[in-house]
Amino acid sequence: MDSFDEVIISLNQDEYNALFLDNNHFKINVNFEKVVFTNKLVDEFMKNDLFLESLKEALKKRVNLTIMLNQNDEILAKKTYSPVSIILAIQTKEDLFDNESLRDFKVLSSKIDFKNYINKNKNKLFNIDIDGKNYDITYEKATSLLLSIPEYSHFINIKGKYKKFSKEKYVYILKTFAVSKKVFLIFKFENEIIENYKNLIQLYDTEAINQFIETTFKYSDKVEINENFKSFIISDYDNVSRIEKAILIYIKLFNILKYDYEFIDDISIKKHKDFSRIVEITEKNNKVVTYEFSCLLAKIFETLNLKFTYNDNYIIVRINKFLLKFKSINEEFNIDLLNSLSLLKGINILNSNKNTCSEFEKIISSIYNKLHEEKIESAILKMPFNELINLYKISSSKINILFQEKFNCFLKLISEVTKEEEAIGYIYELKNIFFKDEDLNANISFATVIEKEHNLSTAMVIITTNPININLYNSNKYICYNPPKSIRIYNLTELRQEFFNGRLKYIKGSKDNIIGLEKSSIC
Amino acid sequence: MLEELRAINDDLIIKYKNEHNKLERQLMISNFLKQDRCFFKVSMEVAVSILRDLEISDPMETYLNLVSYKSYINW
Repeated sequence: MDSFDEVIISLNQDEYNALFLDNNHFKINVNFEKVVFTNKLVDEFMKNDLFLESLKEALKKRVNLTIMLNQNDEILAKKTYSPVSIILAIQTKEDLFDNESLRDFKVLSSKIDFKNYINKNKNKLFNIDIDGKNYDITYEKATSLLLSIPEYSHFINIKGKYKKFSKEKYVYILKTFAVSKKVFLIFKFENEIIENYKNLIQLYDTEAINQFIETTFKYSDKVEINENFKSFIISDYDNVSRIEKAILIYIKLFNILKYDYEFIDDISIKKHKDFSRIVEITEKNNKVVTYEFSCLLAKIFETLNLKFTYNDNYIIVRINKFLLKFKSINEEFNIDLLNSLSLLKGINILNSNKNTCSEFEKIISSIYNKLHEEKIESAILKMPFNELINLYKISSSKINILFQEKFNCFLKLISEVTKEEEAIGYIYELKNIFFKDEDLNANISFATVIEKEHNLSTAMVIITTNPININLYNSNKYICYNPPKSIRIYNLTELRQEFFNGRLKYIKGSKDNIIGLEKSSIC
Repeated sequence: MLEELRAINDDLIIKYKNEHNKLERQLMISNFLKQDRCFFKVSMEVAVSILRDLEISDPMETYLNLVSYKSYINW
């Protein structure tokens, strides 16, 4: 009893038990797996014609061989073996059989040699379609990585194409050949070849090949997009890859268009009823419903020559090896993709290859960081001055400059004033930027007074300073500065004398006060 | 002198384009340097910190030049 994809040996309970209740189990490694046999089962293949003929048939048909426990048309148990595993199991027990028994088996044994098979068929052509093109490739060319271990290293290290195909396409050819010819079912491969093959499948993602060769967008002829709006959406993305461009456009579109929550009422339902409105959608007229968003994204993807499948709720696009699903806006999914860190909720990767998934996540992460930085950069460059300085103070490490050092710098600067022009204003500017409130409360104070000399009145700045505390005014120094003419330093008694003899006086109406020489004590 | 600082800042924006925190500080400085009389609008500590971020070898000396009387009346 055979089925289309396996050869079946059907046994009764006693026969089945006799084969598998044998205590002499042994394991062999066959290509991708470990297979358990019993001595009795191997013996059966060598001595029982039904078993040997079934094996020959399975080998010929390139299918598995299943041994089944069948009782009243009910399958109670079964064990399935690849032809190559049975032949390898017999090979391990060859010494148990005489030459006569082995004669037939030797013929079968030679059939699991893959190199031998390819040598005999090396010019035979394997026909394959890849992304809309048809190729005839010799068996030898299609399987070179299964024939030679050094060829694998060459393949991994080579830059660009291998045997005139991109590496992904070549791995696709190899994989398609291996699957369609069932090579791992009937041929024995060295462990290293098998490991190399597994690595190739993981390294080169072929899932997107032959997918989305043509775009499926049923409304393409009905939908029009406002040309200015389209230009606005697709501009600024010239120096990025195709996948980055598609993602950036999706984010931009998503963040400009807003879901129309009024879609529930009759007027709004009428508004969104047909495709004619889509051409009116712009950054200002931006309320849309789900299918309108998908249509706009589809129209833009058409412009970018991307191949995709349209759905009212999403679009699936193939971009190189990536298969991506772009979700449309709807009443629940209507957020600022950039602020909510939800980019991965809007764009799903459909590839199952782990490396591809991780590559995609890196692309998303880099786009997110870049956009986030751009947003911050733009905010910083537009920030009002006071906010900017506050932000700078928070983000930079603090510098502490001692009062005495600041005071020395201050004296140096005011001693370099060479003109009367704006001199007093300059001193007060320096006061504001050099001294903090705590300095002005404790160690330094400024007042402007009038100096009378030879019937001429000029403004003079009196700088009261005390490294300990200016309220201990008997030890204060009073620097009387009439820029740029003179700098004189007084103690309190000397300064008081200058006020009493009328050479110095407060300016009428001024709030300035000299510590230790308050207005009330003089006037 | 302010023009020289702006040129230095432009170079540092390029230099730190992949170092997020440093880049942000350079962008703040870029905005700061656009302001008229900018060094007369911030405390000495902030100004010296900005000059240090601009990687000026002697920030204090440069600062005293920027806030000198000569600079003040010529601004």
